[in-house]
Amino acid sequence: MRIRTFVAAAGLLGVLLPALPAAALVQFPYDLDNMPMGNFPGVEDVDWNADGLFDAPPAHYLFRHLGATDGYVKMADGLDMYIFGFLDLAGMPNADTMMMMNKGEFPAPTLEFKEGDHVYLNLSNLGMPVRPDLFDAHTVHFHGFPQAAPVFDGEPMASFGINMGSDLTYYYRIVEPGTYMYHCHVEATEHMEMGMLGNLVVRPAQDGSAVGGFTKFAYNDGDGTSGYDVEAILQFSEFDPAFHEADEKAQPLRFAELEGRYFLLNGRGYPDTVDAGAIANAGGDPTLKLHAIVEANQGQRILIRLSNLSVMGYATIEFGGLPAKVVGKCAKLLRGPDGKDLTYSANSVHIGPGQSYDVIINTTAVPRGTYFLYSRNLHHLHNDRMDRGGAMTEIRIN
Amino acid sequence: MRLTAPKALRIVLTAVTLLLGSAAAHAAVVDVKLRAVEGVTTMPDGRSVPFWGFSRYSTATLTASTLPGPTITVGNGDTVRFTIRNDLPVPVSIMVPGQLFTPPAKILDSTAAAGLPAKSRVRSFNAEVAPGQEIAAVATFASVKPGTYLYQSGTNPAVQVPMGLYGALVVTSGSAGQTYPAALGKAPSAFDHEAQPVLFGEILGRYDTSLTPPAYVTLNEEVTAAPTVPRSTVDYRPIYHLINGKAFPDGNDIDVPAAVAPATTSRSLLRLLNAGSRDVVPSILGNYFSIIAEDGNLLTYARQEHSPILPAGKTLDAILVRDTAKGFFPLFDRRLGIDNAGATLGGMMTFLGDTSCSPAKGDIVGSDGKITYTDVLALLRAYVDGGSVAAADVWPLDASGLPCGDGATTIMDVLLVLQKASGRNPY
Amino acid sequence: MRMRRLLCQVMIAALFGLAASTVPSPWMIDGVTGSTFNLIADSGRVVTPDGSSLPFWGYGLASSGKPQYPGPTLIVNQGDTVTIQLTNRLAEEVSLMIPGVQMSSATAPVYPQGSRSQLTSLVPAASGGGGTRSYTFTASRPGTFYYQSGSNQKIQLRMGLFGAIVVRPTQNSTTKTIDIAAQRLNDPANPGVAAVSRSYTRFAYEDGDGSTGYDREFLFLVSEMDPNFQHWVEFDRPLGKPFDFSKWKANYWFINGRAAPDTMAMPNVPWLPSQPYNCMPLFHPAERVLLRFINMGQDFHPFHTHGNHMLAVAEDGRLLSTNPGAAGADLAWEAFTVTLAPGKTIDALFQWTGRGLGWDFYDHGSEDMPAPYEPLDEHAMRKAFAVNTSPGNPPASGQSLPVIMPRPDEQTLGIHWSGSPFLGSNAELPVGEGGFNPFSGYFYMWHSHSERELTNNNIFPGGFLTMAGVVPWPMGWPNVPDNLDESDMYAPMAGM
Repeated sequence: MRIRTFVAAAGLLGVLLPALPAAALVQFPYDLDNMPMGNFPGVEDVDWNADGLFDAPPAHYLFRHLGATDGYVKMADGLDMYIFGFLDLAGMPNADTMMMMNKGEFPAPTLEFKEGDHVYLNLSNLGMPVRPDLFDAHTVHFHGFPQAAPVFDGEPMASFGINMGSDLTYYYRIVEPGTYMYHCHVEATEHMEMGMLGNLVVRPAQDGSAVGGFTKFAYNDGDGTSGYDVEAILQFSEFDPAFHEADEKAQPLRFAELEGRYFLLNGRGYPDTVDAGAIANAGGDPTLKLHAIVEANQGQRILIRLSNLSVMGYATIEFGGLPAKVVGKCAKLLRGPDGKDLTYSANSVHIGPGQSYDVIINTTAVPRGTYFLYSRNLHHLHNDRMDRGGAMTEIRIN
Repeated sequence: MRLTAPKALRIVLTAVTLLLGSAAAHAAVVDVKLRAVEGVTTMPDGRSVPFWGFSRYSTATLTASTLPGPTITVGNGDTVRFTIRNDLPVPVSIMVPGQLFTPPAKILDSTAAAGLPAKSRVRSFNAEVAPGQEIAAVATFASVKPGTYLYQSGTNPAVQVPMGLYGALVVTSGSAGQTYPAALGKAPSAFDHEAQPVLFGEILGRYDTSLTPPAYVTLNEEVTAAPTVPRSTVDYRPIYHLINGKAFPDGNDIDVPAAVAPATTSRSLLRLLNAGSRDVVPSILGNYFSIIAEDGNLLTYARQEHSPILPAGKTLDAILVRDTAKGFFPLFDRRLGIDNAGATLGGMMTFLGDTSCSPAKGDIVGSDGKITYTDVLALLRAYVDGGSVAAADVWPLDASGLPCGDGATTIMDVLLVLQKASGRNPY
Repeated sequence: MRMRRLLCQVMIAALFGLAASTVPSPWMIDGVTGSTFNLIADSGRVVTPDGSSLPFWGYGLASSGKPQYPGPTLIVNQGDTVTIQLTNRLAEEVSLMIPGVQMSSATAPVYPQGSRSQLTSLVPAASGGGGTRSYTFTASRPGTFYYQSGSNQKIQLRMGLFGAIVVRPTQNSTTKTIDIAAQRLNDPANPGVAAVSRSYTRFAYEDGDGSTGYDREFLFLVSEMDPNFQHWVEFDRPLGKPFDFSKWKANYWFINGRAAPDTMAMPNVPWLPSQPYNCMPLFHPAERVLLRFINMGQDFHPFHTHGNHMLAVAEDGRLLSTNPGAAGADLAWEAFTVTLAPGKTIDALFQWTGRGLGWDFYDHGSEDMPAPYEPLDEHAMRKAFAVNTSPGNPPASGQSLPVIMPRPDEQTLGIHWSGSPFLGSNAELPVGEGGFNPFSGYFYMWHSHSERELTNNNIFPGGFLTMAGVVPWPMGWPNVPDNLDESDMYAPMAGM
């Protein structure tokens, strides 16, 4: 059966939607008024305590709505690159979500939670209009989620993916603080290379209380080891333009020849990493929304949350030549089973795909000025044929 | 924790050293004059490869550059002031990752290759020296902290560092026999012997199929032919893999001696640095590294590893602990950077241990790298004349089969070297 | 189609094998025990799931006369004097070296006829064409090690001349009791969970306090091949043609010598004659699973476990401890993705309990009844682990699952999906779906996170992945003998 193209015309899905039973679109419990997802996060239409009346949500209940589709991003050398991507559909009526086809962002919207939250993450598969022949499902894999169960783990061989035109809700009870990441796990090599990757941060319960002179922390350290003033969230990834072009033009995907030529921090190659604004693609959509600037006042402590979702390999990230302290790895405070301090100081971290690091730079004695954080695997410092680019950004000490 | 006598003694010594206030004994200002200039080096397959390197010079004598640059040794707390004379056709600068410095105002330009957008991008991370210029005190690193560091060009590093503009900076602790000022609650960094730094590097190249016959072209050859052309290195791979600028079998084994009675252990300090763009795994056979520091930072707990990860740009300080047994341990890159342009076994390979027990012993005439009958004759003549030849003192063999010798040249030494020359393998 | 069939086979085998809840079996990795091993080195072919046949050189047991990929896993006991007798049937010289172990046999590198430029082997070798050499060491330290050829490594290591060595600690003859209930394997201070004691007689190292105690162990000996290189060795190298080593690039990845989905086939299947070992971790909730990682390739591999973190307790055969033998693994660290570096070994523990999920994954509903396949003693343990609600967090009342599932036609179902989100439960699936989860367990993909490595030379999925299965504790099964061992586990497969 050939799947017809979902044309991104505004009214089309409005025509289709009423044909489907409303219950098919209701993923949350107790959405008693049977309204489409358009009222999400309209909290007034959920009955939380089953008393027949709508209630405000309890504290610590969070709702997020992501869309999965394709799109384009503009590389630092001007190339308009075809991607698959997530985007934020928060507050958007379901009738309108299909208009967001082909507007995927890179990286995916950053998800921020706090220990103790109950998170309902709704994923809408909007389809990929540039590839009308593809009917790929999508998932969200919360990478590193502790004690995961397959139903919400987003790994489709052990569970399932959500088809085009449908929604799926994940539930996460957030219990462990740290730096995580998320990505689609359907046909992982392809979908991840194509850009379905994002940052995910969980803040500790200790946030807000005063410990060791700080009120913001990466972990519940009890002594301020992971305390910081300023935070930067950076994700390393790579793109192979030949692979993206093959996917755009429905050509065979040559996994064997995958080789990175664009090296990215938060989706951009230098100097776009230090462009504070959004960067639009050739079609005018601002699909590169995150910069990679690290900025602090002298004397402040900077927390750099680093992750790597390249499908190809490692990067050795050097922090501008500034000595840094590694306090966390893979969403765990570096502390031994009986409390021994496993933190250590270094100039760089060797970070592999699927790993994360929490690094603190103490700028107390650091002279003011601009330093450059970059991948010390020096062939990463290019945007394809463009010299002096790639996985590099600025650390500004004011 | 039981205290053995040597451990107790070490603790006492540590305490005493602390009392004497080892840290930053008397900080000096050290002026280092470096010249950046093109040089040429030869690979084991005979290929001549140009490079850009540093050399240390005085006002009178301009020295040729070396690959890697010279090891600079200063003291804990010193202020290191670099003067750079730039005899290259491109600007250079100098960085020492891990040592604080005051960065200049951003040095930007928008030069790009044809067809690419001219965007403003940084050219140098630190103050530049233009071609032909000499600038005194162009970069200052004040109150340096002890440990092992790389110095490297901070200009267009993706090209200039692989071209050879790097070297080792060693900052001593101020306490004799201690890598770092002794600190209670940290990994012990005492050593009896310090080996030369082990600096891993590469020469990048690509296989050019447009040539007849197809052959490797090094990045170095292309850059020196057209030094100012904007260049991307994404298509280049390491084709030569170097330890201290040499690919095996060129270069030297590293002397790390066994303990000598009455001592029962010896601790040798090995400073490992990776100046290359690719990560290395320096794997040791027959022993373990005790990794005590990373990037010049003493660890709280030492790590025992036989295959440590040495990523690009990183330094590790390792202690090799030995007993009295002689040994000759292979050290090689387990990422298999162990070929010379693919042709022969080579690359990042060397041996650590008692170089007086090297199985290469016997090649005494004209460093041709082989044991031949010429060597046998010379040895026989020396024996008949009643002399001794340390380089051919191979008998008796040690328990592990190594030709450690006994200090005297005997007929047995002659016989074993003769066997070697005739193709048999007695050691 | 082949993938479905063989996965079905292993699932059914596992179903029967794990029925004996009092004697979890099998628990140990495949290998040969003893203290004297007679090995050969010879050439053969490995089979990959895309139908390729690649030449390899490997060690094998002299008793079988055939090489295998990887070489036989040698399992010895701490304190043993181990002798490996090597007979080399390849044309060039081959040797055997063991990083991390001090040999008692000669170790001098081989410089025939000259000096550095003449180096052929890092250790004494067995000459080609039938040469022999004996290697001896005392297994003074327990842990995970490997042997590989020290001759012409740039060729021989890539061709497959390597194998694993496991040294069992002396502590294995003692019993130690530890608390296995910490949510984080290394966080005994985490409040709210009563301790659950469990005794162990199997340990990875001489920890002194039982902190490396485990229920089951699995080997992950990883390697990779560039088919262009393998074929060059077979056809072009003998003709003197060069190979561009700068372009060496892996396109096949193997765990214990097999590329996915063959990783999940049974061990010793006749259609993989040179690749006897598999990699299919299966375990119960709350069991401590020891993962022995050895990377015999040349690339870094980031190994990621879905389902939970791992606790690394040793590296390069050395316990992560301030005082081995007394302080336990007090320097152990956790990660959800562990770097497997070339030539490095790592020992890590994995445990899944489902604690903290916030919903009842056994689907008791409002009644406190044991679920199907949930034994009463494990029910108590599960209650200790699960944290469903707490004051201030209103329950999703009347529902064990906090969301409504999409309809099956809105889903693309995975083959390991039981139809139900609950452990030990299944539900009706559309015709042709599922089938690879006969015990209604939870499956987790364990894989390299360099996702390009999840392919077999352009074909996805494949390569460096396996599915780890959490098997619900059985209850009400037919009685099975207490001495169930690995051969019994796979006995039902005979004739299938």
